[in-house]
Amino acid sequence: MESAAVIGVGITRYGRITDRSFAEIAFEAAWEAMRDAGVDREGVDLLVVGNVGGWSSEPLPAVTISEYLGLDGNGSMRVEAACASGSAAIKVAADAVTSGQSEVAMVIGVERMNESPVTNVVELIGRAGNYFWEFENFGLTFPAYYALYANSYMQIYGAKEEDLAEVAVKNHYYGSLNPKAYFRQRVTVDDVMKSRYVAWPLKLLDCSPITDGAAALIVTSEGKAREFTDTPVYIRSIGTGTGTSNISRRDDLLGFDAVRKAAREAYRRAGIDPSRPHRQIDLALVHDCFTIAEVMAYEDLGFVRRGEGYMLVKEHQTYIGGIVPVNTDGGLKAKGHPIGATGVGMAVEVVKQLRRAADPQRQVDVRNGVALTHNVGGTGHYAYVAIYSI
Amino acid sequence: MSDRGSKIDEFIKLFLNAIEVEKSRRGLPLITDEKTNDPLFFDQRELRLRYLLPIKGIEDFFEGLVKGEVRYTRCKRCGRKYFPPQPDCSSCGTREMEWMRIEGTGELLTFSKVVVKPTSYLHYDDYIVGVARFPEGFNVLAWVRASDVSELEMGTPVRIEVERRQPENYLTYVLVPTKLGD
Repeated sequence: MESAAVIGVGITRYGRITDRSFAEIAFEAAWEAMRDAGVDREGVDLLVVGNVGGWSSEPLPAVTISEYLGLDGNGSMRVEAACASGSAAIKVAADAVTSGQSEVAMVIGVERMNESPVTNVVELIGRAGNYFWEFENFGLTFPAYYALYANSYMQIYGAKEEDLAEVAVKNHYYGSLNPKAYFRQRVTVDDVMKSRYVAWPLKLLDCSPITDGAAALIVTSEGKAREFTDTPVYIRSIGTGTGTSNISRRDDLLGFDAVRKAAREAYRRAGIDPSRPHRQIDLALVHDCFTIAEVMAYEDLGFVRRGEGYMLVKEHQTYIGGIVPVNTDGGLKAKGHPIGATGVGMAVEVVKQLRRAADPQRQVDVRNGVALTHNVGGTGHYAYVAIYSI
Repeated sequence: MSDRGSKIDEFIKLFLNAIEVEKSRRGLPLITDEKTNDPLFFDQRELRLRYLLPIKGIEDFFEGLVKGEVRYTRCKRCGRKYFPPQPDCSSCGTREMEWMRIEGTGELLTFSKVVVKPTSYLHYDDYIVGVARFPEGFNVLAWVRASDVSELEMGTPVRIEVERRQPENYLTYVLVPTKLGD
């Protein structure tokens, strides 16, 4: 089957944004992507918006954005897959262009989480497990969900809190090299260990921040891509999976079945050997909403055997120069995690890296011309794994 | 309401008073962001959310709580057991369920202590949540009655008990560690 192609990308700085509104940050990312693609606003025939909302004031984001961008009144929708909403939006657009339903589609991921007080944001994300059985009675939070996994992982595999901290150290290092990242300062294992508990055993510096930001892609079909650009990046496959709503219904609390399923599908359709996928890709952007999440991602994606993920980062194998560079933009941990924008922001980084146009100190060596994104919604509730290539 | 709860109420009151002063002065609900100094419009519409949840299909669960029991469902056709209980069988698509009581002693699979809390939980002290495996063949997620995570480990035996949650004063369930041989 023909692939979809990304022909333009745009992204705002990520952070606590108080000087630009919802539509205004979407505008920045979208117009940057249109200019990059050489597409004008009349040329966009479908708008797909990845956004979760609730904490921000616009209930119909696609409509608000369509008007503000000056689009032509063509079709639009908001797509929700929790923290993987951005990847779900990319899937909708990719399917639309490969099926011929759309010629040029725009994907925008956008979130303004800081329109609400922090405890309300904690509440709204915490409610995103199973509402009645896990939130109503027990007040689970997003960090607490991942803490349940972290505790289980550490007890069974013998990893320590210091080992998880290595993920934060790496991702803050790359964040320090990314002008668009929320956190630009480097941290040490000691800094992470001294930060206060949010949900034991996870500490503040194990967690991604509450973030505002937007990212955008212009997507067309493989056959049309060269009409717009000399540097298209193709979406070779998008694998998907869904986990149980109740965390109590998972077989184990060491990794995500939904991710393993999504990865199998993505690898099969892109011709990636699932036994050593890292040998065929030049970089991976994985969903490190918490340090434990990146460690589990290494294992669920098959970069390493189960129980050995924490060793990979400890041995610096996921820095540039290791077996596979991971989160060269700072990841969710340091770049930031504007929920609905996150998956689109990952795609922006992958496209820039494969075009060899990333910031110089964090540009990976492009040998295979292939990259992976891993975007998880909730706590293994939704999973999207995508393979991109030049 | 704990001390923490009243402190937060006090803070919100001060914030709202400052907005009222600003509205009287210039007629605008504008505040200045304390970190960036950017002007922000303070939304004048407040929405309070509470849902009405249908429970007719699992009414037995709530009747069980009143009798001090935590109940699960079992499909009469395929035997699959469900906790949280549900009146429909996801395996065989039928609605022929029987209600059973959780009687066994479970063991803790994992746990965490929630320190940074959601708005509607701010009035509680830090709480411990855990997931336990029960011999009936399913896991239960609930609060664990312990004062700190240091009292717990993987495999800690737990019973499930009904408790009246305060200050809301309603019945729910809790995982209670049992001493070995208890």
